[in-house]
Order: sequence, then C-alpha cells, then structure tokens
Amino acid sequence: MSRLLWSSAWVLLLIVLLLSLAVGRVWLPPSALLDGLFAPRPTLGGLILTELRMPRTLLGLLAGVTLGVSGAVLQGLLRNPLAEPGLLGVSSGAALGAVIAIYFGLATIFPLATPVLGIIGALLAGLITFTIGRGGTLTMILAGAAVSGLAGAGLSLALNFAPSPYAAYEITSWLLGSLAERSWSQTLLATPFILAGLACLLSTLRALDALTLGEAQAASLGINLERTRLLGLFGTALAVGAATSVTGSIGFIGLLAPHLVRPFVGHQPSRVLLPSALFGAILLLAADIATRLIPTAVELKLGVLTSLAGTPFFFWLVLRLKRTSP
Amino acid sequence: MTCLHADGVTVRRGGRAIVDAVSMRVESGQLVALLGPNGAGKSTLLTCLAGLATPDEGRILLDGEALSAIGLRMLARRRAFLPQAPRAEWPISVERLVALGLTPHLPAFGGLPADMTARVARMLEQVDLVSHRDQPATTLSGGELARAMLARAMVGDPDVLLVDEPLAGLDPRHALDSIARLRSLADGGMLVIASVHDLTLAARYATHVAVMDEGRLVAFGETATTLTASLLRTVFEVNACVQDAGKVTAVVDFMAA
Repeated sequence: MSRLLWSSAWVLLLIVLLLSLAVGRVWLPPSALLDGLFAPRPTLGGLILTELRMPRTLLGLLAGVTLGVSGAVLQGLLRNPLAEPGLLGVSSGAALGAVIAIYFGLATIFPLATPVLGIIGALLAGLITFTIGRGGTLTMILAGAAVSGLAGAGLSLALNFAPSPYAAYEITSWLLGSLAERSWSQTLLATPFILAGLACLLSTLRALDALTLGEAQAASLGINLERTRLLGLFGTALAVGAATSVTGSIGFIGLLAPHLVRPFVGHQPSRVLLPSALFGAILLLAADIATRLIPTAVELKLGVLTSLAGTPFFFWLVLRLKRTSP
Repeated sequence: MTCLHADGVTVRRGGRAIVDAVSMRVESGQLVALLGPNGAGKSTLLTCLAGLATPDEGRILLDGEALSAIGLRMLARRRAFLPQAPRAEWPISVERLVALGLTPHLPAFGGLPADMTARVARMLEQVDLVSHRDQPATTLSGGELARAMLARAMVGDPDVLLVDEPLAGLDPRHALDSIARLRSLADGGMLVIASVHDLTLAARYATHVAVMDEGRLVAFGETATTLTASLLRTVFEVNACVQDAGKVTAVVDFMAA
C-alpha cells in the first residue's frame, strides 16, 4: 500500500475517533467535553464523554478491527471473496449465544455469561459451516446460509416465547446491532477475548499467503493446514463472538473492508490484514456516527445502517463474480 | 547425493488399492517420467512421495529417514511439489507468486530479505518472465503460468522436485521447453519425478521411466531399456514403435489403437 494512502487511512481513523467522541444526540461543544474531563467534580460533559462516548468509541474500534481482520482472514483461508463472519453464520451463532444468556437471565447472575455464550455460539456455528461447507465456494456459502437460518430460527424462537415485552425488546436490539448505551464493564469484559482472537488470526499470515497457491501447494510449502484452519476458526469465533455479544450482529463490515484495501496491497492476503483492520474500524465508527447524526424519532440501529449500506456492495460483488467465474 | 525410496507403498480408497505395493528408488541426477493410463495411481503416488498423504502400508524414505519423521518445514525446504494444473487464487504479481516458493525459508513475520529478492529475480530471468514481473498471475497464459509455477518450485533450491503433469495443456514449444528444463535440473543434480502423458517427450528427455497400471508399478528403469513397444501395448493398449529410445532421436510413433 502506498505510503500516502496508508497515512491518509490513519488520519481518517483519527478523524472518526475524534468525531465519535465529539458527536452525539446531545450536542456539546468540545470545550465542554474537555473541561468536564478535567473538572474536579463530575459534570454533564465529563460524564457523557467518559461514561458514554469513550466506551462506545473503544467498542466501535475493537469491533471494527475484529470484523475487518476476521473478514480478511476468512476470505484468505477459504480463497472466497464472499467469506465474512456474517455470511458464514458466525455472527448469528454469536448473537444466538448472547440472546440465550439474556433470555435465561444468566447475564444478570454471571456477567461473563454473555461473552462466553457468544463465543461458544460463534464457535459452534463456525464449526458446522466449516465441516459441511468444505469443498468449494458455493457449498461454503450455502452452509453459512443454513447455519445462519438455524441460528435465526433459534433467535425467533427466543423472541416468540420472550418472557416479557422488555425481554423481547432487548433481544430485538441484539439482532439489530448497536454500540449505543454500552458500558465500560461490557466493553472491558469483551476486550481480552477480542485481543486473544485477533492474536490467533494474525498468526495465520504466512499460511494465508501460501494458500494463494491452493491447499496442495500450501501444504507442500510446509504449512500445517489443519492448524491454520483451527486458528482461523477459533480466532474468528473468539473475536467476533466476544464483539457480537456486546454489539449484536453488525453485517457487511467484514465483507467490505478487505475488498476496499485489496487492490492497494497487490491482493497479497497477508498484507490485506492490517489495512482491513484499519478500514473496518473506520467504516464501523463512521456508520455509528451516522446513526447519531441522522435525525430519526427512534435511534437508527448500527446493524441496520451497515446492512442498508452494505447490501448494494454485496449485489455488486455477486454480479462481478457472475461475470468472472466460469 | 539424495535418494527417495518408496518401500511397498499402498494406498486404499473405498476398499480398492489405487496404489498397490509400489517400491522404487530414485536418486539425484535422475529425471523419472511417471507414465501410465488415466487412473493408474500416478497422482496419488506423487502425493505420497511428496509426503502430503500417508500411505496405508509401506513407507517412503528420504535419504534413509521416513518422510513422516521429517518436520513439515524441513521437508518443504528439501522437496518441492507442483500439483496438477496449479493456479493462483488471487491476482498477486508474478514476482510475489514465485517468492511464495521461499515460504519455508522465511521467519513467521516480516518481508522478503534482500538476498531472497535477488533469488526471485534470477529465477524470473531463468524462466524468461522478467517482463511479466508485475503482471497479475491470474492473467498469465497457460504456458506463462506453468513457467511461473516451475520457478516457484525451483526458487527454494530443493533437492527433490515432484511435478504432476507439467506438460498438460502446453503447446508443443512450451511442452518441449518445460521438459528440457526439468532435464537440465536433473543434470544439475536434482532428483526430479514428473508424471507425463507425452510418451515421445518422456522417451526423449527422461533418464528413467516408471510405468504404472491399475495401481501397480509394472516397469521401472532406464528409459532406453524400459520403454519398449511391448510394454506400451500392454499398459496403454496402443500399438507403437519406439525408435532409438533414450537417444536424442527417440520417437514413440503410434500406429493404431
């Protein structure tokens, strides 16, 4: 990636980070926010900044990085431009796990229940997709659709038998995906899992490059394919499972980010990862800022916005694949 | 001196032996043409010889050491393998593609060291692809891609090179070029085994032939003495005449099926 593009990406990230801290439903001048930060007694500006916008921004950064990296790793691992945690059912598996934690009240008894069940849900969903979808682009996407359908059915079931309208509302908000009203404790709970997952994903760099030559040649180059698949799957499940258990499902970032950067890094899978992380965070934070700025009576949910904005891109990708594939 | 030794190698799929008790011993300096009709078990045998599949019976030794006992990375440094119809799945540049052959020599992170960049450049020169260096590998013609892949396999300077159907889909000139290149690698001391269907090219360039039929190794030896008309009749069910086998003028001429 050329130096100019690389540095503009960093500047862009810095801008969305600052905007994410500065912009909200309640407009406060930056000076009020900053003064609040250093004021001896808590002020409205200080509380909004430290208790609402900071955890929200950090969560957006982590979730965006997670989606960008996992999308890039899955696409490289499966050599499939349509792969991403959402399309492979990992996100819906994580959402189902998180909803189970909410539904049975586990989250109130044991705070770790939501991320842990989210990770387990993501892992199970990923395992099923990988197991039955091995062997080709089409089967993998179909397996992902089937697993998403299964998790979706589970979510609908939870919604159907929701013990109270409040529970139904809470479950719905998981389905829609949002960064709003997430606390420090929720964010910090998910962070170690996200970081562990990202570490797994980053350890697959060389293998992803070698896989450009297909599985047989990658194996002949000394790549342990089973280990790489496990690292990719566990890493995605850990990071996406933990992030989704806090944010709910947010689609298309994992699909979009790698595609945006790929032409600029010569399509080399290992070099897609970091820029994809950067753009995942930029896209997610920008979308989150947009949900706060678009004047709607009820807050527009982040997952809804990314789906609305991402679907046309998905259509374009499918049409392009249709043109280029035999 | 490198020696690859298959000892009673058997591979079964669905109860049927697709490679049946194959024993052979190949040494450096030899270009072995692996011949046989479709479904004879050539690809499976090559995959086993490369250490990418474990035989159900028998063992494969590289310089006396079982392949399964050599670490994946160490094995990758010593032998290169090109499967049938290799292709690039992403439009990476030709230079990058060739550099992937150095994967087992690289640390876990970081770019390509300077000396290795020079090796890639030399290799591109050898296969006459310097002008295609920055071209996306997915846009190469069949012959160019075959050359790029061969460069990818050679760049790590392996002792053993195993190639599955390197001549498939190549026009006569590129097929000639490719097998001549394999022969010159063998002459340079490499151990090369390549499965081929072109008997004429095998007769002309291979130092040895290994002929398989229905999973069994029916003949193995020096090309001049092994590749005979009667063998071709038995294995391929074609009438052919072999002239001056093993010499530069060797020709396999098909008369009738």
